[in-house]
Amino acid sequence: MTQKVNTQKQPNYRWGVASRSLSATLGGYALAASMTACLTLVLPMSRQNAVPAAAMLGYVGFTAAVIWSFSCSSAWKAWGGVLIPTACCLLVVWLKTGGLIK
Amino acid sequence: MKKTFRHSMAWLHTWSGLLLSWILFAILVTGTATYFRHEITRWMKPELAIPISKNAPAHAIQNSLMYLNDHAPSSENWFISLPGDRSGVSSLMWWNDESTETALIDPSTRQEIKPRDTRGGEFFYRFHFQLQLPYPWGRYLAGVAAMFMFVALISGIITHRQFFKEFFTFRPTRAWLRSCMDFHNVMAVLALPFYLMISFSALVIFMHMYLPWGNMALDKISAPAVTEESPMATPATPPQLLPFDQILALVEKESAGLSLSRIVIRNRGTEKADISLFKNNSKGLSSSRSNQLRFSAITGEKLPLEDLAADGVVGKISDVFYGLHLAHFANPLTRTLFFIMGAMGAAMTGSGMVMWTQKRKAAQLKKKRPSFGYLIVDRLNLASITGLFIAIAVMFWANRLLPTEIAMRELLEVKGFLYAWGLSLLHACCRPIGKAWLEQLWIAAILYLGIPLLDIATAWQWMKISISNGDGLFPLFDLVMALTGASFGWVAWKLATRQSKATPSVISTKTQEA
Repeated sequence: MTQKVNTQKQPNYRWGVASRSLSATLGGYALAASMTACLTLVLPMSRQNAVPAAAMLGYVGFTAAVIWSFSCSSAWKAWGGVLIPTACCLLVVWLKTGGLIK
Repeated sequence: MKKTFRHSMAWLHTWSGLLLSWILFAILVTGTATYFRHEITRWMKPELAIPISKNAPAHAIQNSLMYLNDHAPSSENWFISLPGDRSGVSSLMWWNDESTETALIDPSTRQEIKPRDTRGGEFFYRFHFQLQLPYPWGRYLAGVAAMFMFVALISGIITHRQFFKEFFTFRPTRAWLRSCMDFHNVMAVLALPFYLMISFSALVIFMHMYLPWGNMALDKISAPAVTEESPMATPATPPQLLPFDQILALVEKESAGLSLSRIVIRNRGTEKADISLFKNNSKGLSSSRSNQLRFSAITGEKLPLEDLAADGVVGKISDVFYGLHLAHFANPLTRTLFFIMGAMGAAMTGSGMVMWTQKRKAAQLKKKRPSFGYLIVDRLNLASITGLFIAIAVMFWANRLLPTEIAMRELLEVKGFLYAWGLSLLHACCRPIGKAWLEQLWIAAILYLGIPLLDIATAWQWMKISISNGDGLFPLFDLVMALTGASFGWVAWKLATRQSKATPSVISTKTQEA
């Protein structure tokens, strides 16, 4: 308990929490949004199925991003773990909508 | 972030739980009330005391259609909600040019009934996901709250891996914080699947609003799903609607043996005029739109359903989520069970909020001045838990006491709710917090215990009719109110004895679960 109070007073700790919070909320939403778009295009289903399936998985991705952001060892890793999959999803969306991959 | 994964998750559970808990608590309480919104409406509009029956009486369809034929002959769209086991009246709506008109009629006599002007249970329904905020911000805020709840649940499950063991450890006689924690755990474990379902389905219901990207991405590569309506060709001669008595005969013939909930006649006066009959949906879980019959109002022939329910498996799953969240399928017993689980969810949230301050109290009291955050949380807890209940009670009192003839009456009731809530926050900020909790708990207890007496004093004439019809609405509603008041009184009494035992320095920040 005493150790916790001490760490909380360090400015680094506060910045870390702030950075992780942003990664969990803004980053988490970015991941959920890009996953939804990507999975809708990728899932081999009709539109009626793909859209809700992708959105539901998007929420799961959001939750995973939040858990990751607060459990990994550094704030940098938090951002990396959320933004890299987001970028991958966006790449697929870009390739798909551009007609570059079928 | 912390030493172990579980420690990190405990931290996440604390903060994701706390940050929006004040809004979440209000959403849970109003949502729980919404399970009985039709009953609340009937209580708040006692003038509607008309016998209710399992199925709409046969003449209800005829009288509803005839009323509309008399009063809205030129309207394009008619909507009829037939009486059922949750309402004794026919609720009619039609469009006149730009405005919407409504009427409630007695299905047996075709007489219009004019109840007092009130939002009734609709207030709770709307507040539950719109929070009295302008569109679309209330819905977004409710979505953020649902996401926080979901994260708090998942991180809570990870933290308390051994929750089955914890479930059997309720130590009400131990230290206050310990028993508060046990209560929180018991409430959480008892209805955990319900909480997971309710928060996730909330997100699913509004997924097209919160995550619209799937459809947007698909629209980029293929034609939009919703084809634009082709401009309606104006026929040289306006299409002839079936004569009214034939429409009536058609509806009566097709509805024979069915239990209908709604009748909709749309686009009257155009060639697309149609009649839709909606059957009571009490069989399936999902809120599927398939229990509908549709006929042309020009030729009388059966038409295919235009609004296709989701056929696919996933579509069905999201339909089931929708249906589960709204629980329209539920019979009174199941609905009561959902109500209890919703109330437990509110109790879980409330005890979690109180735990946050209790855990920090000892450390804060050692300081010369407790931190600002601690003071704020303590006061917000009071205003959002007890204050919300006081606000709801004030609305019920206003419903019975405001004269029925004053203008903007329904708005005044809502204002009463909001002002009472604001006053509770003001009171929480001005008074020493320990005293403030005690005072507000007593006020809530008195207000709720008073509702049955108020009801008898002001609405006896309708209550009498309702009870003689064999309808338990008024006694049951008043019983629930009395029980709520008694619980507040019990908590206030416990808190008072605890405060008088505690040392004077502790009194100032003592809080109790509500």
